[in-house]
Amino acid sequence: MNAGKPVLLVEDDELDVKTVRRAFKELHVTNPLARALHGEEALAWLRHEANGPPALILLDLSLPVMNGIEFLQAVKQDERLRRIPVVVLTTSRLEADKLTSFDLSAAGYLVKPVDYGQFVEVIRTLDMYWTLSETP
Amino acid sequence: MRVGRSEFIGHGSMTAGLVVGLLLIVGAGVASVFSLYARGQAGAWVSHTLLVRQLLTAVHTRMHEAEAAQRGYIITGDDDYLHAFNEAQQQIGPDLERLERLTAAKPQQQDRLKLVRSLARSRLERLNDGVERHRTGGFEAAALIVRTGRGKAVMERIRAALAELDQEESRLQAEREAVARQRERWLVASTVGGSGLGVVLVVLTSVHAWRSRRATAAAYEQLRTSELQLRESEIRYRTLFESIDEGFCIIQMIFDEHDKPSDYRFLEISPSFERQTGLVDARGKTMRELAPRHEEHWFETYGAIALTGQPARFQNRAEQLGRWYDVYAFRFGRPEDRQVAVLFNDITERKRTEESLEAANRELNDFATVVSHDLKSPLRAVSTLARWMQSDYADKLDGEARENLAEMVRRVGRMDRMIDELLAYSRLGRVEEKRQTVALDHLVAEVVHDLALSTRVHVRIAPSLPVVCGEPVRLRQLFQNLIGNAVKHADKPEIEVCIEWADAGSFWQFSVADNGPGIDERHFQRIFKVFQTLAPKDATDSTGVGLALVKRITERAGGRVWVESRPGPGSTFYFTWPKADAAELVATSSGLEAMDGEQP
Repeated sequence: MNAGKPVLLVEDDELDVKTVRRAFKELHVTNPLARALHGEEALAWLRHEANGPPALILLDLSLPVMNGIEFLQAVKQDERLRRIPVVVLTTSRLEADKLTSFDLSAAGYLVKPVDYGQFVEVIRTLDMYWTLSETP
Repeated sequence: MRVGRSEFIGHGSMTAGLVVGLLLIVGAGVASVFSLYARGQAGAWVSHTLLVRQLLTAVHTRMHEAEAAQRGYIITGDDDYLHAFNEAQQQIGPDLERLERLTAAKPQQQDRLKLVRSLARSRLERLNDGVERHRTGGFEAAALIVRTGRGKAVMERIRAALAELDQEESRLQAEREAVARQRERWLVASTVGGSGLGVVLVVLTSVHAWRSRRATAAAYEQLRTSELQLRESEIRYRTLFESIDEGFCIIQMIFDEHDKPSDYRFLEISPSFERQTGLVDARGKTMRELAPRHEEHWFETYGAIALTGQPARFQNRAEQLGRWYDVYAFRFGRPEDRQVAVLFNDITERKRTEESLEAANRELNDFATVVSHDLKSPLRAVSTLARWMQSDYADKLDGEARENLAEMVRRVGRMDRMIDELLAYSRLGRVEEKRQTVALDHLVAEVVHDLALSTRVHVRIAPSLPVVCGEPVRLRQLFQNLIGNAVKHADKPEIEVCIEWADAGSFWQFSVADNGPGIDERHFQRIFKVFQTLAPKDATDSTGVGLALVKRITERAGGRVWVESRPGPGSTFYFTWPKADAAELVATSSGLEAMDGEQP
């Protein structure tokens, strides 16, 4: 998706990072995967000029230091970052989480399937969508 | 007071009436006494006249007696006659003297009496002369004189004179009797009039006294009653004021030269005031004296009430008093007084409870977050790793190991769903959604579509499902679970699901019928309880939350849910949903578009 720009994955769980990497690999998604442990690290990465804007941010909500919701708030308040699509990738089906995410202009909300097979399907759809979708 | 005034007027008129009445009675008395006296006088004169007439008759009689006795003597020579003659003759003189005295005021009568006297004297002299002759000359000598007949003429003159006298006296008698009768009438009139007046006065006075006493008593009673009422109401309000649990005070607003409220003084405080505020002896003091750091907004609020007369109810914190208050304040007295009555309640405890409740709710939601994020992560890790082992070591694993790994993934998936459904059932982390108008035609079609059912499943939806009012998400869950259940438990190759509706008065009644295995009646209660399923845990995907959630959703909306079924031909689940009234339909019709996907 989006001409080889990196995908920023904000995720503290090592296994989840591994799962995304593996899914990318299986699906032949070529975008490099940048990884941030939490919101603050992600903001630092984004504000680092050399990195350039990512094609997409995949955001877990449950994070140490600065959680996903706080990160979304910070991104949407930042003139230069607000147009980067942020897709929430979480285990939570809580209405409160969905509501807050969309209130903060998340570009999507995906619940991580327990089953790896289904997880790969989710990533496939995601890749297809963001390959198709125009971005600013 | 009105009563007192009229009472006073009554007293005045009564006094005047009494005085006039007394004067009238005294006057009548005087008139009576005078009349009585006059009547006495008149009577005396009548008696006087009668006496005169009696004497006149007596003189006349005596003259005849004297004459008759003299004749008897002359004829018979009997001394008895002579004796009677002398007696009669002796009486006549004094009688005439009495008559002269009695008629002294009447010259005419006096003249007539003189004539009678002289005639009588002359006659008596002749009679005596006759007697003397009899004594000396015997009968014959005396008879000579008698025969002359001169005596008869004299007697006739005497009779005539006496008749004249009597006539005059008779006239006088009539005159005097008339006077007496008149006096009598006066007496009667004055006596009857006086006593009548007295009686009338007594009656009037009594009536008046009775009336005024009654009026006084009534007035007094009224006064006493109104005083009692006043005292009672005073006591009542005082008691209210003394025992009111809310704090109450009347404050005098103090404004600076720009009409900006700067402070206020406590004019009146209820006994509960101290307990409610912790301020001791506040009466007469100002708020700034008592609590210098009291927030500005209090002064502004009360100032505005004093100026505008617009009462206010509000809740606010008083930092220096360390309390929260629920306050109702209104202008007191005249606008220019700039006084405000404040009724307030210490709600610190309630605020604390509210805060702790909020905190508890926050913690619960945090708990829900932890459960949904952190509890599920390891599950997914187990599942993912099992999958990787299956694929990465496919050539090294035998059939049973692959089977076990698959089972592992399946069980973990089940637990994942249980967590989600349990959270949904517990309503943790859910957001209260606005009630909306929901077109069920649209919503049910969507649900069926989203369930992505296999081609073995044939869902028939009755046309023209009604429009209802409710939270779209709940309604979706409702149909999702009922249709999902029907499919999940199906035991036939071709699965029939039939959704119908009916009008049930103030409710809509919906039914979801299937051709599944059916349910024994003894399980009808159990299936609606959370985590209760009829199938063994490893034989189905069912978590046992679905129907419990259906029950909870319908009951919260005011409807109910039940099942009709018997093993074999399948089950029909019914639920009712209250009809929205027209006003609600209009008010909520903005949300007619059904919700979709994971969007809120």
